[in-house]
Amino acid sequence: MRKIASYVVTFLMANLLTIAAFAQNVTVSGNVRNSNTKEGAGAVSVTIKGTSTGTFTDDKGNFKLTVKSLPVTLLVSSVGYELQEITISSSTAFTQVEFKPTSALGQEVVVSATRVPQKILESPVSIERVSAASIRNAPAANFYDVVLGLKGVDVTTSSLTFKTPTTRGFNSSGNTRFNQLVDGMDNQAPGLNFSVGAIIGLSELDVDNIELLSGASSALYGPGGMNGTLLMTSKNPFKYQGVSFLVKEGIMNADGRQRPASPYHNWNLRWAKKVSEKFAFKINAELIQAKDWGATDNRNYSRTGTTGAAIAGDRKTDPNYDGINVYGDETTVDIRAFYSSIAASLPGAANFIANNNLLATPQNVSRTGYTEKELLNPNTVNFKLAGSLHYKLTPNTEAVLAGYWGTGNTIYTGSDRYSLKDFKMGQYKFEINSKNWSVRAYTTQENAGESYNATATTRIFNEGWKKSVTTDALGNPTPQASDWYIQYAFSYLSNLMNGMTPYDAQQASRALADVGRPVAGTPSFIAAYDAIRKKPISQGGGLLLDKSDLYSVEGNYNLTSVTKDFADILIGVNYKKYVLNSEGTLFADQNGTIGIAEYGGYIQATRKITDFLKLTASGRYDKMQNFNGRFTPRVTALIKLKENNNLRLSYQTAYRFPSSQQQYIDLQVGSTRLIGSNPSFATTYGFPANPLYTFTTTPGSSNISNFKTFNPPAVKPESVSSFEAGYKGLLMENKLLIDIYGYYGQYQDFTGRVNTIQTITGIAADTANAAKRRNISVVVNSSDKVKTYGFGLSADYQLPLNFSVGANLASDVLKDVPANFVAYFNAPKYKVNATFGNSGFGPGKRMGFNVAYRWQQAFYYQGDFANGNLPDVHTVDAQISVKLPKTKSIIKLGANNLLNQYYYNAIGNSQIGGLYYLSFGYNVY
Amino acid sequence: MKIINNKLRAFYLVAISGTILLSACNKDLETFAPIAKPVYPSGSGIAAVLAANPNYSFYSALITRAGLTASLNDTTKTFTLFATDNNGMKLFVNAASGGLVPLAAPDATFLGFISSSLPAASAAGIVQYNTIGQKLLSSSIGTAFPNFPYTTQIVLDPNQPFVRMPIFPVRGTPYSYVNNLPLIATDMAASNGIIHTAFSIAAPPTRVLKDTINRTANLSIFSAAVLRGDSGQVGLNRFDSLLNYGVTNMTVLAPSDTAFKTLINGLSGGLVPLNAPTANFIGFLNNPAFVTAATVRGILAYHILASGNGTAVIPNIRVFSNNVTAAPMFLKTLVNSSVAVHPGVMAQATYAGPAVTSLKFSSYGTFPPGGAAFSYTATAVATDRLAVNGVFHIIDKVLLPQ
Repeated sequence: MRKIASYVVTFLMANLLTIAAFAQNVTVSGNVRNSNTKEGAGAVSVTIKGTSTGTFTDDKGNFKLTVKSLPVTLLVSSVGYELQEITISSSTAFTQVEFKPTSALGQEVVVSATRVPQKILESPVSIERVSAASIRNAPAANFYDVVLGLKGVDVTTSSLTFKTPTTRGFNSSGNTRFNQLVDGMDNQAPGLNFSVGAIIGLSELDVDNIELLSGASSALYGPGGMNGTLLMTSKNPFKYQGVSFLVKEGIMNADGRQRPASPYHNWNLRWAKKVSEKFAFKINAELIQAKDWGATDNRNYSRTGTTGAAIAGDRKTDPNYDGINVYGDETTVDIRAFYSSIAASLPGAANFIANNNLLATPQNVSRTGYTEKELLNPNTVNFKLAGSLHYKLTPNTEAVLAGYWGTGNTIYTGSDRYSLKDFKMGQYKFEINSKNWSVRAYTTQENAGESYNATATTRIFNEGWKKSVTTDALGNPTPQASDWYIQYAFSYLSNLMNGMTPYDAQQASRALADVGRPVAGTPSFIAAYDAIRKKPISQGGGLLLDKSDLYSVEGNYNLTSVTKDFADILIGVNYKKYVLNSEGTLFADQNGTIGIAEYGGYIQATRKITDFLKLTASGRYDKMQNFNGRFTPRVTALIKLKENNNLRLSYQTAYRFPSSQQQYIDLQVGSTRLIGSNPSFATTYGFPANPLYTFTTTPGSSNISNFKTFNPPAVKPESVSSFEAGYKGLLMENKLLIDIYGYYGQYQDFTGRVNTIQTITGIAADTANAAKRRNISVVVNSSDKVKTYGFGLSADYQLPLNFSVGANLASDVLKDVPANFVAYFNAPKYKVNATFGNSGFGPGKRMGFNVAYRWQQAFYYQGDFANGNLPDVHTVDAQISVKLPKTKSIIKLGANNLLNQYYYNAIGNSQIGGLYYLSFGYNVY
Repeated sequence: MKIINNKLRAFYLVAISGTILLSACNKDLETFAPIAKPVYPSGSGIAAVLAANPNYSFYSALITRAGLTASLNDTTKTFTLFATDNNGMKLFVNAASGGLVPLAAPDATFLGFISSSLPAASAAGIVQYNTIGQKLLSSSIGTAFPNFPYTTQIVLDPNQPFVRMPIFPVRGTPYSYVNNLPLIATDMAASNGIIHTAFSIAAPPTRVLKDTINRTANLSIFSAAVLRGDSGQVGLNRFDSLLNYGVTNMTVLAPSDTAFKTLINGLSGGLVPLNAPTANFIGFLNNPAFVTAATVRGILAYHILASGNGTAVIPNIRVFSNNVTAAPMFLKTLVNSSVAVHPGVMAQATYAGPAVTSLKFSSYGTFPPGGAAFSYTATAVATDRLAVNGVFHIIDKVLLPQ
């Protein structure tokens, strides 16, 4: 580490010392304003023609620039405006620039496709871009939602503020195959492994742009980007200045379906100031507060390890009912054991038990649970605070010291439902960006706060109130009359003997065993529940103590100035260190933190073969501690068909090292212990001396059979290779933008889990004895190769009078899925987005509106928490806005899910309804 | 311009209405056909069926006295009731009144006794003892030996409500019984169950075997033998504990005092004359110089019927007189727990119609050991004495295992 740091310092010094000083002697000034609204246009680039010297207008549209001599020709440019060229001859004259809005399509510049700026039309790989202007005009209550309308994007919504997007399938609440980078920093929580872009990242006013790379993207952005990478970039305070605020007030649950109508608050504040030509800073804050969408899927669920399916029955009709969003009822016991002992000692009861078939088939009975609505506080709060200091060491070299911190309450779905309470994450970085190089060091500091596992906590709560079955110190059952199951079983048998139907006997027995059961929401319930959720998992509670961190340093250098005769060459290196720290509540780190080191480097060469063909080749090598190094190549070709019409071809690869949880988790989830892939677990759990066994499950039954010894092989990183072809072009006098892609990908060494059992005694015969075995879920690679293919098609058409219409269609298909293979593909075969809007109509063209429609086809959702069929989803989002140029304000009336058509996009997660809001924004760029 | 605006307006309206149409149909998650809840029958319950039948007016009065009319008419539950008709009730009332209500008394007298003189708790006990919480058609009554116990509505241990007093219906050819009472009619249907009619009332026992035996006048030497045989034993190894334990299910062949006296007189070589006070016989049994505790224990073990094999031979069968066949049958005893090959006791009954007129038990071993085949037959002088935890028959000879 020290060696790497010294290299970095040397590298920096070498570059800084070679930066030439530049002379300045004449200052020119002016103002740029919107020719329609006469509103000062901020963040407009003003550069001296033929150089990279320039500045940006402030929030009022003013600019000041020092030039060597007069006259000077300035280029005034900004996305959404026509480029203007002005010549200034006098240093005393104030120049007024009338900046003409344009709605030209396909003019955006993207960076992430090749790590160098290029027109989006010329990107060699599929890329989507969301600009600040798109966010401003989008019919979305939150900037993150805009991503969800992009072509080919799927989303899993765990709760109001916890949304996980991905492309190319394989989505889940904690998707680890899709990278999210915020200002260059990996936004994944190092311990909990989910990306937190929606809750701890940029605040809406500070988003400059979002770029979405669909598909495999490890070659440039490192391991993890198997299905895509989302890069969010904030606004530079040199460019975007002034005080801005945005207040959104909304209403949710307008129909009272989940709870009485409740307010939605979203307040944003941004202050950026360019103190001098060398120094600028910004501060951002955002607060979201609302009552969350409810997860109210109380259907009965049949669970075996981490798989299962919704089934018929409810709390009354199925004694073993396990509601999907009902917790505590995962505890289940086959009460035949009690009847066997009764039958052994009581001939009368034995006869009755035999007559009623109480021993013939499993008599599984679950504890009475509590619904999520009863347990989880619906108050969702999300507070983000960020700030940065920017110092220009030279006109082209900027040092940035930045911090992004966020906290909040939200709900996440992993193997269970987790209440992320007072979750905190901070990302802090120092970077230097120059024209040709950049270095960055950052850290991610995670603190799970009072986050807890709702399922486990409620089960423990039930045990605290009344033990299921008392056990001795060795775990052997020593049933007591006070035990819940003894009371239930005795009562059930007795009620049957009383002539009751099994149904009535079940109700009566549950009522008896539940006498005195704490009522959710009462002070005594809350006190008892809080005591458990605040106790660490390692001490028998439900609290996660995750304080894992990530430390990263990276550098990139563009060698093009040296190599341009041969090719444009870009190189980069990075080093990461994960420090897992859960005090034994998540990882096997009871005895101290666990460190995982990872390093890598890449090189990319781009060569323009002819005016019509540009080839790019990239390669990346990464090595993570515990695993062999991996090389990932990427080759792309851009074929220019004609101006603004390009064909792109690519072969991309990506791979993913097992996540920190997949390597080191040691957590009881329901009746199953999840363990990591690290070889140390073999020692901890004593296999293969006391072997693990795979088994066959009898559908609809808790019976398992066909035990086979299983010694988990070493886990390898999973990988994907993908071929892709696409076309992007402007047609019909540049009014129609078409983007098409098709891909074919093959995944191998897919990382998943397999449910095994291990006897407690070490005696093989005890595999058949439920009381003498435990369930262990181990990480494995699938030996099967899984193929995916799909396509996307979008068309955006610029209509007269600032109207625009657009639509996109995407399809993702999983192919050749082996029998019994759970791929967690989680993508609808088809999904469609359509938009219709106007960016300026009415008096002074100050009004705008946008309507977006989204449809996704029904599909079968697979998750560790719950599986099931998701029906088609149709949603309409809409907004209408009016600008008030005099006060540089914008008022927006909008709706997410305008028609309040509730939908799920993952089983067991929140059901989403309509959100209606009115916002007032001041100085929103 | 106006035309364009109109066109756009039309387009806008079409787009909006189209999306509304499309989006107005988000379906809820799939649901499943609910698991059917029980459908309760309509029609008359057991108490109502009996109330409507004049041949059961006395039993109906018994149910009323017991306060169980509503319970037996509860169509959410299922029962089988062993009732009896008015003739059977007359037998019961005659006996229960100590003969004060003669069999020839007017019906009103019987009804008056049932409704007023018979304690309500006794009435409830009778009905509950004869009620089992399941539908048991006569064709489903077990034929196997030993008897299947069926749990009644009498709970013996409130803390373990499935610990209940059992009743013993048995199906035979041509006669079926409940306990030792023949069933004279079967399968009278009610919406919530079945009624079988017994010859008379099967009355619930109120005492365990120990208590019942101790209260039986001519079993005093047997009681003393139990104590003698138990000396040095603990827990359920003690016969006394077995006889006193409410949830055992035993059949005891209890030799009368006369039987013991005959045995002891013989064993003592006439030292204890047959006309000596009973205490002398007990004194002989208790004197280790004459009889060891183990000998007494061995003799007693041969008088407790059992089932099972090897070390699992346990006293868990209830043999009413009518369970003994007309052809000789061998029954295991507790002796088989230590001498697995012992042939046990040979039992044989003589029938007149459904009634057992004679019940005999023969010891079947060799006595003295190694001697000639030995068969020694005792006749039951009193049969089917019921207790909570078993039944005993008083026999006129002590059976010797070998």
